[in-house]
Amino acid sequence: MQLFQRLAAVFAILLPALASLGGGGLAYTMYARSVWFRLEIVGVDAGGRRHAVAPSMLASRVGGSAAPFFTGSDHFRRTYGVGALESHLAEVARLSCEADERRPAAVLVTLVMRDGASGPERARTEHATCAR
Amino acid sequence: MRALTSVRGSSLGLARIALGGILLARTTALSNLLPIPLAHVRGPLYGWPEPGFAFAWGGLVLPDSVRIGVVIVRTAAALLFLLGVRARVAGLVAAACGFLSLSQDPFGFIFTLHTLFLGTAMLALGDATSELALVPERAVGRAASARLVQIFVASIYVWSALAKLHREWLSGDTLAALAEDSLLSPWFAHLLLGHPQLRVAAAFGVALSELALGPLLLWKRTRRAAFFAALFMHLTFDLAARPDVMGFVMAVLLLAAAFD
Repeated sequence: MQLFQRLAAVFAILLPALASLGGGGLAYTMYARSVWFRLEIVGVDAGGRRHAVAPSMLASRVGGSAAPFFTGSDHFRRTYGVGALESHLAEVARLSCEADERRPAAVLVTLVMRDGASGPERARTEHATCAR
Repeated sequence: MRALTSVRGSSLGLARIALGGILLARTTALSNLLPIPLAHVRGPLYGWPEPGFAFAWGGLVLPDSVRIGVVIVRTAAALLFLLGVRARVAGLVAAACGFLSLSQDPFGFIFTLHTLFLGTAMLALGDATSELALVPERAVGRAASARLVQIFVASIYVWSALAKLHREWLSGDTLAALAEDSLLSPWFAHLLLGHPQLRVAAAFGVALSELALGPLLLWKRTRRAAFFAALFMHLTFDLAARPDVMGFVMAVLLLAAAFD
């Protein structure tokens, strides 16, 4: 009985609480909040010149569940959670290195988010140095 | 009354069979036959490798061969869990393999699968493996087994309600967004978009219902009433939004929780 009580505490309280602390928001959010987001991807060549990389270009290079996060995301779009995208921005930067035909020396990826259509914006940026 | 008494003696076993069936259907290509757009499985089994850049929790990307092995083991274990053959180990293995597959698809994470895998583990730990099983496991205590599921189910409702206690949800704006994005049934979306006060009432109704169901399920005197109220709530959700197989998963876990 004591073992079951401990298991209940782990599965019902500890694990969901850890999900909250991990930055993924509360557990069992299930479409409880919408968020608007867009992606800015910038390639930087060896001379420091910058150029824009279209996020839609990445959609065909990722699996089916990730593709909708890139299609049309150069403009603000509404969805119901961008935790996965926010957690994997560094990988998105690495993928952009491979996808950008201009072979940049580095890539900066910025995820811009806001609550609601006109709420204040917040952003998170990650970068990758591209392999030569 | 006789039917209720009969369910009470084998509700955990019935729940194992039903959840095993949902697990098999939702994590194989059979899922694509369901009239639920969100319950789509790419490839023959959920978690089958796809071409393209691989993302994973913590950057721990598994090789394709390992991912294929994991989904095959999960499917075999789910079948054994359903049949009641080594169901304790089989259920835990199926749940662990399910989470491994979830870890390899962070963009596809949904709480339906999370709950399905955790629910399988919950039932595998208790007497669901000793009721209506081809090879029954040693019983560990019916009341304790049901209590574990009760706490798990109650926690889902409470966490879900807490996630809705903010201005956007309670003002009905999130429901309007869901309606505009075609994530609700057309008739319900039309109704909500045309009646702002109904949106607020529905938003408060859902949050308060979920908040109340948690404690009501934990208290013995209200548990049976909470069981039927929760079933009604999930039926409403399914008519209004077709939210994957979450309603079925919760109905099965409620069955295991309510008839201790």
